[in-house]
Amino acid sequence: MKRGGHMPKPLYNHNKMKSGFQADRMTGSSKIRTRAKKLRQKRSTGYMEAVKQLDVNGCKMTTDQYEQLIQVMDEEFADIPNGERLEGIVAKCYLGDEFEVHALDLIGNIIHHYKKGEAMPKNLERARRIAQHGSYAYIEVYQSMLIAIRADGSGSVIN
Amino acid sequence: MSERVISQANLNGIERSISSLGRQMDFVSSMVDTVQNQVATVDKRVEIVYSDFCRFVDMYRQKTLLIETRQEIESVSRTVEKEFGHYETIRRHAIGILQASDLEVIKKETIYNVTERLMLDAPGYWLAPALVALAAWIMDNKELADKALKEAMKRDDEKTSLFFSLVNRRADRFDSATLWLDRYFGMQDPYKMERKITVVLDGYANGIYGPDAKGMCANKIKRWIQELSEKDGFIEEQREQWSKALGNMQEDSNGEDYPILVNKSPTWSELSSVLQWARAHKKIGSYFKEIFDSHSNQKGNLKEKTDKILMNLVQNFDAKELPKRLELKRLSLIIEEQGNVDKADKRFDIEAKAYEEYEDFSQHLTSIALASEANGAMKNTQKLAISLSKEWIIDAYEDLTAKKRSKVPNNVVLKIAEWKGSTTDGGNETQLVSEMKDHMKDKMEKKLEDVKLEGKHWGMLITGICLAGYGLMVMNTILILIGLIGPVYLFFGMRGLEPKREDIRQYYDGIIEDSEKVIKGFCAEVVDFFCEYEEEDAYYEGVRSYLMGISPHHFIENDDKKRRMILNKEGA
Repeated sequence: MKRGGHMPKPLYNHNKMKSGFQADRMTGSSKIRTRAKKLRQKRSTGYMEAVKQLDVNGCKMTTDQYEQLIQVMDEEFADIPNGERLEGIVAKCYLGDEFEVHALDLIGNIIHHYKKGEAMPKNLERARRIAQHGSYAYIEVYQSMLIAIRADGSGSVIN
Repeated sequence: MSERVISQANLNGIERSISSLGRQMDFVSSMVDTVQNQVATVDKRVEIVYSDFCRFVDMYRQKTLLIETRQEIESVSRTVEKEFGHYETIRRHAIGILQASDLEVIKKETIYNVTERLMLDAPGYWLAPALVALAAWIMDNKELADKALKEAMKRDDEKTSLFFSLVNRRADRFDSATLWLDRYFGMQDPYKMERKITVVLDGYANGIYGPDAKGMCANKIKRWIQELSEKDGFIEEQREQWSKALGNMQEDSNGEDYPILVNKSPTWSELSSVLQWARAHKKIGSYFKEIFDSHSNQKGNLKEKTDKILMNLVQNFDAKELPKRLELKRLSLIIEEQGNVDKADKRFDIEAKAYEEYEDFSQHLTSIALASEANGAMKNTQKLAISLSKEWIIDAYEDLTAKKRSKVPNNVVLKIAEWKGSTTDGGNETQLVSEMKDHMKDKMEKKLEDVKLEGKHWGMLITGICLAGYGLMVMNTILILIGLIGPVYLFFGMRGLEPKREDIRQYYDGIIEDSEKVIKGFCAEVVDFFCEYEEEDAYYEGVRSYLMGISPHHFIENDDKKRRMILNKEGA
């Protein structure tokens, strides 16, 4: 991701990333149904805590911390048959007044805190407004939908 | 030569004439401006008259439509009375026979004779042989009762089973009631059910059934919902349905509180949409609270409640009457919506599902939840249906709210003529005013640059000089005079430039002043808008919590305690 001003560096080599979200060979309407049902299920406490660290650690997150986060995410979605990739997570940023949201871009392996008016990658930009709302802990960004996750781990789907 | 000498006085005269001509041209020009303004005023008035006229025509059309609709309702009601009036007689007899039998004030033979006559009045109608069977049962004539019962079951097995389930329950014959109910359940397919399932839900929600039957109902309902949930796309369909129903609770926003946003902001349609949904939270909360806070209007003893459900069963669920009932429903919705056919049709699309002959069980639940009266369901049943549909309702509500929240615009745009500005929260008024002024000043400068002498002025000057020069050469006074027109024309042209420039400056000063007011108003409205939006949006959490707290068990009346007390007393 290239943007003017502060340019976040990829946290580590993309090739090394263990991807928990690559499409597997499972297809079929039952898998789609199962996937949709599981994506609506409550997120675990461990997962919620891990995502919170995005704001706590900011851009100072180390590679190890990042890998740990990805591992937690892999475990959370392990039994979900794939069809669509989780592209990123966007949440309200509490680092300071000048910051609006922060985002974990899973495609570019980048964590960045966005200031007011600073543009985000196109696929994550659509989550900006709802991430700022304050009623949701964070927003999961998929190719064809957003899932707004509340503090209790329950989610709402936005198609 | 001497005739050609023009005196100074004559030249002065010519100059005065040209000045006068110039003044008259100015006068004509100002008259033209006045006429233009008057034309603009007349234009505005004509527009007002036109829009008033259009409104009048719409009102007239609506009134006429309402009158025609009322006449249509009367006509359809008369047709229903003519074609199905005799059914009504038989229905009244059903309860009459039961109540008369309770009181033992009428001879059994009389009851039997009446039912015999009913058989003749309504060939093909299931209730007639069912009443004969009932009368035969009261008279203790088993052979006749069996025969009549077989005929009733042949005509409509499900209704007959339900009827006798309730009749037996009314007579405190729990085992028989449970058997008949079990028989009815055995005929049910959760994917394709008739509306009369409402009767079972009425009985269940109002505590009509004994413990065995109640347990059977609870298990059946649970199994049906589980079975339906496993079907592909089922849950999504329920959410979609509830999403539509909740969406229909929004009211159109006419934007009267935000006139500048309505008229000057291209972002208004998005703002209006999110505000409409935010305002709907209160209405949705009130809708459900009204239902759940209302006390059951089914007070009375068990017999009274059972009679009401029986009446419901025999009155509301006949397929032959369905088309006419649908027609009546649509017409009455048009009356309710004051002639707004589009709105009426939208409601009809949802409420008509309540009249569909065959639907899956969840659709019946939704229909009862949204339009209990149309389904002939009781209040408690509506509460039960909503609580059984709770998960789908909450999902739909949450999803719809999240979607609307994601559509709140990041920037609100203001457009004044060709200038556009934007704000995120109405807090950058000074910046907007400054940008607007810069834009207008640029435009003004460009316009001022265009105010200059035109080609014709220079042409006239050159032509005039040439003519005058030639006139001097040939000493032709007339030519000299004509040539002088050129410079004079140029002079008056130059004199006219400054007033035009002044007009332009004044015009843009006026625009800037007006635009500044618009920007101030715009920023104020944006602040007010987001204040209102946040206030209304905050109702969401309360409504959500309320819905989460609903449980099916709260709304099932329990007659068991009373029964246990009676049994204990009897046993003692």
